Amino acid sequence: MQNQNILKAQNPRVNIKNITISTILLSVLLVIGSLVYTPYVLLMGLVAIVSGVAVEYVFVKVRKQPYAFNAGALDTPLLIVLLMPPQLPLYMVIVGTVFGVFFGKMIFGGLGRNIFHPAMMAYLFLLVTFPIAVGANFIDPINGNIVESINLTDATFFGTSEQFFNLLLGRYPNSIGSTFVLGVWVVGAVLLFLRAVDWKIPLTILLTTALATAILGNYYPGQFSDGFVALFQGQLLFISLFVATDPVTAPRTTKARIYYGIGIALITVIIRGLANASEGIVYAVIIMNAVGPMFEPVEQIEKGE
Amino acid sequence: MIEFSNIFEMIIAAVFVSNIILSFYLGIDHQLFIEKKHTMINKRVLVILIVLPLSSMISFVIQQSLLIEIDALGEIVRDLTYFRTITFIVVIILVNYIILGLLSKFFSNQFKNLQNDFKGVLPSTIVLGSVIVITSSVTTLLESVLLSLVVVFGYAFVLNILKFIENQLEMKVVPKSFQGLPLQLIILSIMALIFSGFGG
Amino acid sequence: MKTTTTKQFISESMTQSITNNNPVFIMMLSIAPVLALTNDLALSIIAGINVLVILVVAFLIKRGLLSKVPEQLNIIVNILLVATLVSISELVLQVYDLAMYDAIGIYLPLTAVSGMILTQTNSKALDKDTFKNALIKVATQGISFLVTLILIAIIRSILTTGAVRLFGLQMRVFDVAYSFTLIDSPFGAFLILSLLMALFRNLTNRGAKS
Repeated sequence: MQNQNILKAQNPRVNIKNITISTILLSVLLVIGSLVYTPYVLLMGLVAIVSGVAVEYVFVKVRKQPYAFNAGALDTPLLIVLLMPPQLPLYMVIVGTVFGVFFGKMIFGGLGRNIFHPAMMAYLFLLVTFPIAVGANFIDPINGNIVESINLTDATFFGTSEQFFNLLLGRYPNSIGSTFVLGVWVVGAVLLFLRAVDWKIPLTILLTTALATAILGNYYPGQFSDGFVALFQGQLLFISLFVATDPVTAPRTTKARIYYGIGIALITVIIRGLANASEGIVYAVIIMNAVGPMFEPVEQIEKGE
Repeated sequence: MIEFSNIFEMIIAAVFVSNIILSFYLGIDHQLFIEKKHTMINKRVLVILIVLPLSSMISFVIQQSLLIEIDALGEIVRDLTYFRTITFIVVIILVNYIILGLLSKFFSNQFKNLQNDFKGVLPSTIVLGSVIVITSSVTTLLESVLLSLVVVFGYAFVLNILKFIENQLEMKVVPKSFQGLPLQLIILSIMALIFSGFGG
Repeated sequence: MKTTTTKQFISESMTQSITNNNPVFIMMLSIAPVLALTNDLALSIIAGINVLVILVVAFLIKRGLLSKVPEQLNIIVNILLVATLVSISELVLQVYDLAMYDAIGIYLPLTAVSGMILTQTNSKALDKDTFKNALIKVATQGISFLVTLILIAIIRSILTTGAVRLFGLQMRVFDVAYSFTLIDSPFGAFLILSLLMALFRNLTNRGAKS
């Protein structure tokens, strides 16, 4: 308890209760992921958590400071794993987590002080370093085949409701956390219900994405998919619910958050449309992490910090 | 070199893909990076904004007319390109001196403290490096001016974002050995990753 | 005042230049060439030697021929002197190995710019020293730049391909299958330099210099 008090005193952006709730729910998603795919997923999660905590511990100890273990240390590794394809080699998990936690979080001063979202940084790093293993090596949940692209570009995709239900129930390949769409919805709803995350951000992102895709799809029919389909492409849902809502890296004021959501959505849509890259949203979040605070007055550094 | 075939591509190339800081590593002047206020930074960039196009123009003209000469058959008649470095440096010094002199005369209250910059802007690698990059990427005089303007814009763009991000950090919690330039380099590394991916 | 022998002075200067006054990690000069050239060990060596030679020759010329330069012209003289030397070095490299010259590109003159800065700061500081001591100081500066460049280049080389390559010789540290091309990119350059700088500051206890 004392640890948490230390944290809270130092860090107004960090709400331990919310972080703990998020962490628990993310683990639920991980377990679901292991049911959809294989228990190897749990091993990935475990390895990521251990590496993440190890990095934090070593970092803090080298600076001769007390280490306050908290749910925040579990948050990032879980997110990273949930964004990965289900059979990623363990060493990649470790490298990604170490990079994300060290350069995305600890360097800037630890929990609550980071500018860029550490899971997104880890994801970007892994995408660039191991493009095939991380970006093109998904598994079809039904028959275990290796699938290269998770783009739902078929315009008649939602022709039948059966296909839609298949999507919800996790029959279409995607990253570990995003496959079982129904699960993402439920967990997201729980988080929103518990007020652990701000609903405005995911809502803004999804609305803007649908609108932008529909409008741009009118002008460039080949490049953009249907507005509704776009909502379910790749990691958009997952990221808008669990990553973009991170209170440390998102702006504080409502107005700025809305701009944040709009920005993420627009950048994602543009990158997806012009470059046909499903990693658009990763770039979008990182860019908006940096730029988002532009929309709100400079936050006052409190005394004693 | 910065490659482009039309003005749109030039802007994308100079600002994103081949950004002068993020791809060419130029302009990482230690003094500039310590500066905390946006206004001071932008003042220095303003000086570069005037100096660079002028220097590029003059250097380009000199390069085309004096250093290289290709006759009607396409053969190189005169090749004095080894004078390039000295010539460019001399041009830059002169332009710098004149511009700074003019600026401190007419806008003395704003540019007073830039008098010492004569030693500051010149050794900074950006002006010399940019002039060389620009003159080897363009084929007409107009292009040299345009490209230099866009390059400065790209430089200012990255610099301002860097300062913006830095201002959000609380330096006290950052490990001491990382404070200052190392942290800025890390932020730059992330920006480099993003900008280069953007170009694709 | 303690009188030191030349040998002691040399070693003292050397350690000073490499640790407390390291031109790259502490003085943070010429970051651009460091970032750009440490991809390739050969280029780093060439650039380092270039700076060393220019520094020493500039110093000798200044001391020998141009020692009576009035204060105001000092800057101009230094700049022109170093610029000339740089042009000569460019020519020499062009003749010696054109491929390397093209690879170094714009960074050769830029390493010399940092040489300019050093020469400039040296002008005032070294006037009082004896010829021998000043020469040693200048030389150690150049050598420490060279050594630092080599160090960074070796580390980057090992992290990128697992081996250190130099003029056809190769020293392999990691497995052949190891490949981490990101370190070659600007991202890797900034990252490695940042880490090394922080590590260096930590080890030499120079701390933060914001």
